[in-house]
Amino acid sequence: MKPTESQNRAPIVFIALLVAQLLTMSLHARAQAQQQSLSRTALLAVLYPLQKGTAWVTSGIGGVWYGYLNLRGVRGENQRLQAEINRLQQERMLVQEEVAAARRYRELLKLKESVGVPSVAATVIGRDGNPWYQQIVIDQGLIAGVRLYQIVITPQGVVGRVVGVGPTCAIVQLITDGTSGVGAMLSDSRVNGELKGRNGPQCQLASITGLVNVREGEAILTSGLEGWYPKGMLLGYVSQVQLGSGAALHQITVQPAAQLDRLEEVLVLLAKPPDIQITESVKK
Amino acid sequence: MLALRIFLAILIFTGLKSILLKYRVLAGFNYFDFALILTVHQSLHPNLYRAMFTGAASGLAQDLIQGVSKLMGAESFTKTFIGYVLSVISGRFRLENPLVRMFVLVVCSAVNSWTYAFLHLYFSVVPQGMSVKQVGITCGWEALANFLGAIVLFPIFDRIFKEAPYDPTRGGDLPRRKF
Repeated sequence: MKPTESQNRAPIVFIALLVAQLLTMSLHARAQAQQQSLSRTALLAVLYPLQKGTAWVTSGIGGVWYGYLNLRGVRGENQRLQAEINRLQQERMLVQEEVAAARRYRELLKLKESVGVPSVAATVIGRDGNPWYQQIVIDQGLIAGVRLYQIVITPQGVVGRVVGVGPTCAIVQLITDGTSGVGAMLSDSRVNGELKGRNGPQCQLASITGLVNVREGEAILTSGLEGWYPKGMLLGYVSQVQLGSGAALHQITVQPAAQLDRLEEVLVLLAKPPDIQITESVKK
Repeated sequence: MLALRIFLAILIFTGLKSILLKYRVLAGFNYFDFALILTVHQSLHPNLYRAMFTGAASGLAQDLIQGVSKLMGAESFTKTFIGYVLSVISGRFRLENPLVRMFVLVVCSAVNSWTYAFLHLYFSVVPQGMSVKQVGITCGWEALANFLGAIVLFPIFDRIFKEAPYDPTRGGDLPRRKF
């Protein structure tokens, strides 16, 4: 049986597809010098409606499915009473959820008022599914005034900085990302080091001499020396120390103060460090 | 119609994964690669176009929705490659057997992990921590997560993408297989 003409063309189509993808990768790899590329802007422009849309569709399907499960097997009076109980329970859950949301918004508002620079609150709408990066997507972008390298915080502490911006959404690199590095200092001794992400839940505080006293639970603050973050913002707490010596550095593990694995709302500071004057109430 | 079903499956499952990742519903869920499982499932039949376009589309969806990674197109490249090669192989060997296709999936998962890492190396955008050892560990976790995911998803895909049996009166080529 001879292969058809269509089958003969398949390898050509295959190679064309691979070449197109290689070109795409090449464009993105070349835009690595921390610049916002046109292709990334375009990508983010389509990313937002896709994520919003899929969230809407899947939550809708989930709602229909749970509604079906909740009502299945309910009969007569039991059905009415059970439905009433369900309704009350759902109302209670909604109220609890709203109370929790109100608490978060209140904290965020308090933070927004205390940072002393223009800022915008954003909701986390996505997270990177790739194990090699720790990034989130937020629902505010260029239109809201978000720009590259602006700082993202929560009332608990620093989250990271903006590394990609679209018209209505932005990508935030978390401080736990493997490529992230933040100038940091120990709150007690004021010794400077670098907080490095490890693509895991915790970070590492590097370049701290073994001659300095470090205790578990000690706060780690931004030093401001790298020029991206203002000085004195809370990054996390020392969770583990392998003490060094005169010749060896301390091995310090840091637990981020912000709950990076369950972020819901964040605050983007719409100014860069020379213009940011963090008030004492925000400094820890 | 089949293309539409594949397109909808890509949209729904990729979006679902993005949302579940956001809420961290299951530890290790980020190792699960829906796009790969779908690509492998569609590539078990010797239809080259369906295999490579499913791979390209599902990979692209991952690049767009989930993979806010620094190498746009890497997921799409690996899935297209796997789809095409697997489809060529399935033209020679019968791979639809439930046990055989699980084995094929694990092999494809490993190929996917190493190709993805190689592309980062090739374009000099290797993320911190992406050492040979770490890629090996990640490869193992991904293979396990995809294996477990495929136990659930393959039967579902069998139902969703069920095709009409071969009808000799309508013409067309039967797959040429040696085994």
